Amino acid sequence: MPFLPRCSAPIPKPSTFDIPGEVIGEPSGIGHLVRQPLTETLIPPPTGKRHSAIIIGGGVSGVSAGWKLARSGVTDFVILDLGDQLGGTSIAGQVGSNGVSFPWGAHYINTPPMEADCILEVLEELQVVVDYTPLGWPIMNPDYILREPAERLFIENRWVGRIDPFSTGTQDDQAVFQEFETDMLRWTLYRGADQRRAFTLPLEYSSADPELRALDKITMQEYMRRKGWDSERLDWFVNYGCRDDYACPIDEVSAWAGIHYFACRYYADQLQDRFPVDTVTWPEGNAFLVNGMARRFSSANLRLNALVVSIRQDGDEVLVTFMDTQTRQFTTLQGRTAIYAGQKHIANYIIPGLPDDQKTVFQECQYTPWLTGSIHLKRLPQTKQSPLAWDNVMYESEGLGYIVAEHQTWEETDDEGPTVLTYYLPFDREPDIKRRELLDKGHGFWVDEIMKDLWEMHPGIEKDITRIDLYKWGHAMIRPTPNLIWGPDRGLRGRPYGKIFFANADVTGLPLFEEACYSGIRAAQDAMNMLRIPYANSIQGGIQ
Amino acid sequence: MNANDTDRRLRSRGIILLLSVSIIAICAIIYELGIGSLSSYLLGNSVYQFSITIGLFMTAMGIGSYLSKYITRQLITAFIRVELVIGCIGGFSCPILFAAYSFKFFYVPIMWILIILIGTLIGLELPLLTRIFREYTTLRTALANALTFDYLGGLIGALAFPLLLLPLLGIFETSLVMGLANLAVVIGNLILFRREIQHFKQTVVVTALITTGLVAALVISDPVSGYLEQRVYTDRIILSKASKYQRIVVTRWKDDVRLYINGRLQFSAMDEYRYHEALIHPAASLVPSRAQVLLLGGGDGLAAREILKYNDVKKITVVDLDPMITELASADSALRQLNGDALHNPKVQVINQDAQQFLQTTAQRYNLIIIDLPDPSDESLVSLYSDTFYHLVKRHLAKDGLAVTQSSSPFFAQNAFWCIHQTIEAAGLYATAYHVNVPSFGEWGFNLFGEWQIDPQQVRISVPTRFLSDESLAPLFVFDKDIDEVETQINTLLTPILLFYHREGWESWGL
Repeated sequence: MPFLPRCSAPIPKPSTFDIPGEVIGEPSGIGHLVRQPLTETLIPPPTGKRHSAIIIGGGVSGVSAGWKLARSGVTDFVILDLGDQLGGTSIAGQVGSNGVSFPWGAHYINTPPMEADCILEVLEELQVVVDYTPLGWPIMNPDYILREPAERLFIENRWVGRIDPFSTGTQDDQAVFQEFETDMLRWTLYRGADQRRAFTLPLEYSSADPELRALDKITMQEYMRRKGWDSERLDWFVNYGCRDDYACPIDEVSAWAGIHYFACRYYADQLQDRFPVDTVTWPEGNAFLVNGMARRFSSANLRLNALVVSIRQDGDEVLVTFMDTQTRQFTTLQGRTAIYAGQKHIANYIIPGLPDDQKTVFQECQYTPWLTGSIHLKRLPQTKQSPLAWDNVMYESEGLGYIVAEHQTWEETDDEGPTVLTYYLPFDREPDIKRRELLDKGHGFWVDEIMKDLWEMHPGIEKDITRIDLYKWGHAMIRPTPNLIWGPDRGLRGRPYGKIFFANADVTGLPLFEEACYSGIRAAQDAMNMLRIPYANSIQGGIQ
Repeated sequence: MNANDTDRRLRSRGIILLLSVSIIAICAIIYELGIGSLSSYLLGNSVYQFSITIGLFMTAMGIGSYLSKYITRQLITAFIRVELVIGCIGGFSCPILFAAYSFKFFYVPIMWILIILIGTLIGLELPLLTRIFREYTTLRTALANALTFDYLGGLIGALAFPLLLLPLLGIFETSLVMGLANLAVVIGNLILFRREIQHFKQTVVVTALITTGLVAALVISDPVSGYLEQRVYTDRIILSKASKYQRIVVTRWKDDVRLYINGRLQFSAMDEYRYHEALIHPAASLVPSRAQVLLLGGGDGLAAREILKYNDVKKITVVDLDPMITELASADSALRQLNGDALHNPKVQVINQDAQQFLQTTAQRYNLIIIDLPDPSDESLVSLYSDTFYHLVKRHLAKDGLAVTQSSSPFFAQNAFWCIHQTIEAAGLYATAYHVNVPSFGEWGFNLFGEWQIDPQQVRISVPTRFLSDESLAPLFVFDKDIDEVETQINTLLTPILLFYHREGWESWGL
């Protein structure tokens, strides 16, 4: 009698999935209105009182700028944003009016290094950092520290704990990984000739040692090749990290940025006793941080659904004209300064008279599109071999996996209830072509793309899915390709133009909460310098 | 029999039964911990070993609990028989396993079989006892009492194993003693229920036999475990001890005595004098006075032996974290012979404390500070090589005093060696590097430092030595090209870069 396998036949994978849902996010037509030349008649004369500062863009950098102004006692500023909530790529969604919150974009941060003064100031106010060790190392609020199981990886048809492709690899893979870890330990602890850390946050505080900045001239792949590391698994591991944080693959991302990902925080196991690095996260993702900073704002500080069409300097004033996307009414505000916290390629369309060198640099900024999907389920995904983690990743997948929003708030009794997963798909190659495709193709197409990936991890999961909503991010993240961060043009993205200051993560060049926050606070301080308003300097940039 | 008598009998039965529950719970968890620790000692990877042990145990206990439903009559007889078997198998579990390892005879399968057997029997115990209880009280009380004392026993066992049993008895003896504890439960219940037990006489005989066996094993456990461990190390083991932190083994082959901690060589009697003479004499010969000497680390007494060669030494304070090492060095005859019984010298005071803590709590200044600590391979050790630490040392040096630190190998870990050198200098001290060849270690390096610049040519050997002579000193201070100074970063508390240099250095040699 031949041996017969007793398990049931594998479930056949459907070729398309018919799952309801809608596309949320920037209505592409409106965003691109700004590219049409405005007729003078559309611009009404300025109304209302003069603001100290008009902040254009309510993402993390704009909100941080507002936060710093408010904290310094400036209340007459206004933040304009196209969306219906603050947050930019850190916004959150919610099921029903008081149901589960879930992130649409950025969803965690890690314990910052101790020199990150302005970031720590924000996190202290938000009670994310609750104390410091005698050495000055920040202690994170235990309520927000990511719970276990934190992450897992689907590799060779099974789940392994942690994102660790090496334990199932060959001895060579493990040896190469050990070399990589030792090298990253070196960079974590390395100080340049100026005694500054080689890689830190905010990145402007990093050492100016030319030897280190030379790493920004090559790609991460080139760096790894020069090191002689030859392991597909290590390539995947590093590539995953770079795509996850920068949406840029190793053969396109700068080696400086790639190493920064692994070395700016004290990640090494050998350092965890004294310098623990924790991931902190919330059901609503980084919207928690945005909303926390926005607690300092009053309704007078906010103009949502506002499409800014023109920012121009007129004598002592900056005039900012926007269209209310709901009433289609145009309004012009007057300010003594403006902080442009939007993406730089748009600045060229709406700020007349920008110098040519700055215009060229703005034009050259490249942004990666993303698709995020919120997957509504009747019950949690079932996996027999390992418990569901917060971050669930598949080896060699186009997508970056999914996170479980409710992970941080689960009670024992919640296990079977409906839940939401957020799925992340970056278009890290050929961003311009992919952006077209992302916008052109509809809900059904992208749901099929997501489901193909998800199905590998959870065959038959479609039966539990009630809907999938999509968010199309046309320009989600600045691409830190070689020479962006430390190249000759680096100062131009943040160079003030008259009374207009520039913020956003694209100013320094890494698409991180910390960079956006730093650039916003810096722009706010620059504006206050011009306005001769005293403030406590949040950006000491001190060496620790 | 009146009602009072019955009452009292019932109460005493209740107490004995509860006591039995606690004892068997203690035994159960200790068998588990014993097998888990022995396997991690022998095979390494303690997380894995403990997970496997606990996992298998739990499963087997489940099987045992399930099987208990097939025992329908004669509960107390069944319970006593189960106890006899557990006492026997559990008691001998660690000796059996160690023997299997020593003879390389199917260690892992034997471990699994033992775990499953013991686990199953333990799984049987509690349901049986609870049901016996049930005959005296309600199910509610029976369950509550049985489980309470079971968990309580678990706690006692879990605490007693690492804190009491392992350091006092050793793993071998712990397992035998627990076997005897199970037998004590048997004896107690035999007395209590003597009228209700089938084949009472035979049971008594078997109990006596197993007890004798366990006691006999306990008596001969020292030579037997010595013999078994001997088979593992190539040299003859003359001593082997486990503290709650580490396992210390001393071996001897002909004249060579070697000390291992967790399997890593600390010194070999064949050439330790090279290391210790080089550590002590350059610094000791340069200082004008050697009245007060501080020795950080060096609990083996070998460095103290060298310092005691100077007549003007008034006091040597030895600060070593691990009491087991200093006790060993002052009690074991082979080590005492090697260190000249230095730790019993009236000039020597031993303090078991962390070096940094000690320096922070004393204001005393020393003429000579000898730093003989393990290499900076982990987070706590690396801070004993930081600029902060050297500042602390500086505050405890007499004005004309000197300090010296072992500094790993300038050959295997060139960056680490010179990082220590430059860190000392960054703390505002003059550092002089030198090195020596110790065959069992390889090329080894030291840094001599103080608030004044020494002149290597002034070093004179004024005490009897086996290795150093005035003529042989000069090359010690010369660094060949392959080990010469390289520029490194400073090792600080906030940036413990030395961890990287050390790891990188030894890793590149596959060591």
